[in-house]
Amino acid sequence: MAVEITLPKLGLTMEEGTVEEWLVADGDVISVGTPLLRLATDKIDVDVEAEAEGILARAVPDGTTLPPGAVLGWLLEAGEAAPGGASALPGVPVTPESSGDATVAGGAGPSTSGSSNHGTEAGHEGGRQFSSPNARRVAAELGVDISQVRGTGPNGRVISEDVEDAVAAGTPRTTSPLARRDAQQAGIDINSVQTDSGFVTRKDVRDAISSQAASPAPSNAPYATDATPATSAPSAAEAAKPAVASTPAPTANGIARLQETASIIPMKGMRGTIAARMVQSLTEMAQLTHGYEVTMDAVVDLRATLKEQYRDLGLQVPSLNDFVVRAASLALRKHPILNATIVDKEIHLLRHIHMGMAVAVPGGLMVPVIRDADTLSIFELARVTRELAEDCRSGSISLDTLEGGTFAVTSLGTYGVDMFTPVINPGNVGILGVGRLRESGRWEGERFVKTQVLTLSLTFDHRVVDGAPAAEFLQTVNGLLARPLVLLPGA
Amino acid sequence: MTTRELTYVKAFNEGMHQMMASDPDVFLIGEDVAGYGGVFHMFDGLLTEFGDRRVKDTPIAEQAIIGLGVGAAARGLRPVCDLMFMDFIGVAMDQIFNQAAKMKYMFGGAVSVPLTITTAGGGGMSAAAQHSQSLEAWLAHIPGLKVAMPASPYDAKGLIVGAIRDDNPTIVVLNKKMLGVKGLVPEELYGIPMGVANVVREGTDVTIVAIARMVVEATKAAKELEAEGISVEVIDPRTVQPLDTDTIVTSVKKTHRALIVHEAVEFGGIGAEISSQIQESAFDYLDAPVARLAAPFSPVPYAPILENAYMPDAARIAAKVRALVERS
Repeated sequence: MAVEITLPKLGLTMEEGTVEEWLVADGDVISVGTPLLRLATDKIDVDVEAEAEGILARAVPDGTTLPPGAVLGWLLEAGEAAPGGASALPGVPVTPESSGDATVAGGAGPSTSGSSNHGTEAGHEGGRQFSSPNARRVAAELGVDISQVRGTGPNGRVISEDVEDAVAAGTPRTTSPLARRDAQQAGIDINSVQTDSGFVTRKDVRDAISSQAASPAPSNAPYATDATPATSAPSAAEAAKPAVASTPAPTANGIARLQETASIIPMKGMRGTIAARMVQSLTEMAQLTHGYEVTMDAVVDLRATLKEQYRDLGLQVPSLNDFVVRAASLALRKHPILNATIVDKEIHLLRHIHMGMAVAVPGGLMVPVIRDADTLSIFELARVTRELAEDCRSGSISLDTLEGGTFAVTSLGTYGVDMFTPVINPGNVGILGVGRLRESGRWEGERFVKTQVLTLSLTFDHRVVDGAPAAEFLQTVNGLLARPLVLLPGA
Repeated sequence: MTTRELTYVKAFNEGMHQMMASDPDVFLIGEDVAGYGGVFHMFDGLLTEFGDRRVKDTPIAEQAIIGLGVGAAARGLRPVCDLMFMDFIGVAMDQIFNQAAKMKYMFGGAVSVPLTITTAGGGGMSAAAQHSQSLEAWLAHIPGLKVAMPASPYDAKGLIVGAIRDDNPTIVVLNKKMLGVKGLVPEELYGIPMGVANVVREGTDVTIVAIARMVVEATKAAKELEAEGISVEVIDPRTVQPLDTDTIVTSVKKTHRALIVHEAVEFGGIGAEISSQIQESAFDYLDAPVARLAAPFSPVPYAPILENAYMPDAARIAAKVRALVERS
């Protein structure tokens, strides 16, 4: 029995996921637990593991975006054909490794696969490409092979505009996004990459790179990050492609572009989400930031005491940041206007305080949410924040944990930043930035005493909160931090 | 030509006055049409101007009203028979589809029936399930009948005149919620022939074919969508029988996408017919399946909130259009 590999639903609001990359080859024998593919959502990337054993038959190529539940491939028994047959594998050329096992490809031999393969990530079902009647009419008129056109209409349907766009682009064939990225990184023109099918895969790009390296043409390493104008001779692939007048390209006589791309980071997945949400935040809201110096002496003293008395017990001492999160959570109870959201033309004050905490991870940041943060004792809070941060960094955080925050705290103190302007998560009206703990001094009567302070940076949405109430919130936080024993119990 | 602003019902009323003045064979009968001027004031002033021989109140007997009209029409007069609410048409249905619609055919063309039936349809007034229906698909299904559904004051006048002038049985369905809608109407007598659609608004991206009051909602949606860069062509077929398929198909060949909107129930509605004609005549020009927006399969609700949810409106039309033109 073929076992379906489906796109998992990782969170309540997850609507789609993208197969970033298959991690195993078509036709490989898979055992339970083997990571099959890397899945990207707008919030996190995860590896999807095999839940059964069998021979992998992929149904979709890298770069495919589908809703949860969609079939991505199958795990087959030896000799079993994929349920969709060869036609259920659009855009996946039969690789030499798998072609020996002809049953995997539903009986289609490698010699026949090249001409019949076409593909895009959407607009196909059971091997049928969706195209509108008008698109087919226009394609026939313009002499375009519609199977090579990527569909952008509803359901991934190829519409007439797609045909016209393909003609205008002069490249009526499709490429996987990762293949395009690889080609860009290697400095290869994707249009010059040879492919058996109309679908350019990463393998095609790898082949192009290796054939280029094998060629006698003078060339540095393909990843020409340190290429200077003098050494950036045209690659064999570039030399082979027809000149494009409108694109300034490096030439043999050493005239370089003023701005040369060394490598490309695609703005998708987490990076794309951060980009979209930050622009949304800064264009939709009237944001401004208060800087406020709070005295941390009491917290520092309490932590020192706890450290000393807990040392032999092996108990965790809550961090400085935990105290600030705890104080902010309690302060939100007193200042509900900052624990709010805008719905149409109404400010909705929210019943629960769900505190988002920004966690830096490689390549971006995540904001896991501490549910009902105001009800937790400082020790519970410390445990939850530590777990959430570890889950974020290890990539095991669940999508649901990243949703539903009503306010957020972000800290750059450990990086030595004092004051900054955090950006509000869309849907919230405030975010509190925590700065560096530093030594300061103040006058007590005639005596100048040493004191420890840090700067809180409260960004708030002026549509909802005015300057004075925002300052009052900060005063409350300051007052709580001056009496840290009140921060210890929960509820 | 002098034009001025008139309400939908006044424009209709003016058409009645001018036709009765211009043709002595035209007369009017129905419930409360004479002394009261019709429950929607469609017939105000006709009794005073033309006297009780040409403007007659009847008992509550729809079958008799239409039966009288069929006989009078067959004998050469041009009766206008009013059925007040379209929902009451069932009572007179045998006279309409077995007599009025068949007579010319059954007598080999020796008799014609220049009968006009006027009535008011449509919801949105919280008038409940027996006074809010849109039954045009029933009527359009009968060979021998013509069905006009004015969607503006100009058409309210032009279509009642065109219907009375037409030599075949014609039903003019006014829309109750449009009675007070104002628009420019020429003073002169003019008639709009049956089967000529009106391109209310030109556009290039999507064609909306809207019936009756949905023309107003579609136009509103088109204005909203224009601001988003979506150019919508709005077509009012004016008469659903005969249907001006040519105008619709020409438009869809240009825009490649079509949405049909009516407030009658979607299942078996006139939208299904229009949709089918579009795909038969313009299949190779479609970039999306022909879409429909109409009432769910349910009687018209009485509660205003439910009725609002039941009837298509500009916002839902706009959303449907956005889905039609969506690209990823």
